[in-house]
Amino acid sequence: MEEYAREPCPWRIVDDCGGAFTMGAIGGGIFQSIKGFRNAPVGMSHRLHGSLTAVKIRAPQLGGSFAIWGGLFSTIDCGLVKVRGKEDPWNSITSGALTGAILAARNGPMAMVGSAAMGGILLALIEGAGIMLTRFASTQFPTGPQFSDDPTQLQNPTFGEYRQYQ
Amino acid sequence: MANVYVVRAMCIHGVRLMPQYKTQLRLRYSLPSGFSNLYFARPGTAGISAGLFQKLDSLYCVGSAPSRCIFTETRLKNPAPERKPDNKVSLKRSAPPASTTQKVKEAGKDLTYLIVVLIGIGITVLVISGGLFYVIFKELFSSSSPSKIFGDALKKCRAHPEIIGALGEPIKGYGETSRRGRRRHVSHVEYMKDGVKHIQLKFYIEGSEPIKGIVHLDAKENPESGRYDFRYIFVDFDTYPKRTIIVEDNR
Repeated sequence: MEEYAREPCPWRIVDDCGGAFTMGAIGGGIFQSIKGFRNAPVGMSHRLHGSLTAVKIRAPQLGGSFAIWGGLFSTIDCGLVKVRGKEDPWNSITSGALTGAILAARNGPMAMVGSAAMGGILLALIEGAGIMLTRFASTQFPTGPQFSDDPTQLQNPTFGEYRQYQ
Repeated sequence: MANVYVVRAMCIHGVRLMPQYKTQLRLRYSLPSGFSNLYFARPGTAGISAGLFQKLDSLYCVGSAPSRCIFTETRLKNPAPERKPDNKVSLKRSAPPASTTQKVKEAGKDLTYLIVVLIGIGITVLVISGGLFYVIFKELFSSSSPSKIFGDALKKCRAHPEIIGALGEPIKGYGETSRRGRRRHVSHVEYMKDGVKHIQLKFYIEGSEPIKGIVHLDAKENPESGRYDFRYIFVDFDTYPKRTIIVEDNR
């Protein structure tokens, strides 16, 4: 499908924020349930209660941090797309770096630089993985070039509106 | 021995508490310091030391005759432990110094751990990250990557007056839409013809007008410089009747 009814960009922010929250909440839920289980007093009811308490308290916190990261990243990404007018991997890397920098702003400039570097490198890795996946997926269906001979649109460049193709 | 006393005092004088008599009260009720001292204090505060009480500002209980006070005194169960007269902190070592065989075993264990860590770092950094970084660098910086060609073609289209007239500024270009809504992958086909690498690319272009354009381009690799030269670039618009603008034709 080449065309969607709407532009992805502003709605992508909500998608990414929600997706990140879900990832953080589920992952945090799993880890915190095990941790709460282990740190509870002996006895199955105590342990289950401790596990549930830990999940209830900690998992939304982790989900919230992930959601902030994802939402801010997507916002900056959409902003860059709007400004530059084209979509390419540079947008993602810059967005990751800026997100890392903004979220470390409380800790001073040096921490911002370090966090920006980490965010940029992480996003570069993710982009590289994405590119590799799409390249492998597309080379699974090898097709020849779309126009084996020169395309018909180029045949008569001097004709005006009388060209009718297919 | 320093004892910690909790002194609870409740004083009732008529219906109100009158603090201005507190100095009177202190004189009246202070006992010799050697003895266990009872002091008036706010209900519920713990008396820490004898001298501290005299610094308390607010005393609830006041002097004169009609007042009645009740004292209770309890001793805390676990006062702070006493310090030894010498200020040493003693640590008992849990094991005697290791013998030679034990030292060799420890060193062996450390060595295996070190090897495992190095293998892990090697796999992560070199293989995975190295591979991914190589891919992303090739994509971003090499002049033969589809993203670069897409960028150059988009620049040419943006500078072409006919396309600006047809689409309206500002012009934006993008590739195929993936599931998550990102549009970064530019669909391209690489092929060999007459021993020279060619690449065909297709991307979408849009402006402020409501029509969309599809840009097809073909580029040939220049063997000397390693860069790609455009063979043709043309744009199809989805208007009816179909309209095509040829941006470049170098065949």
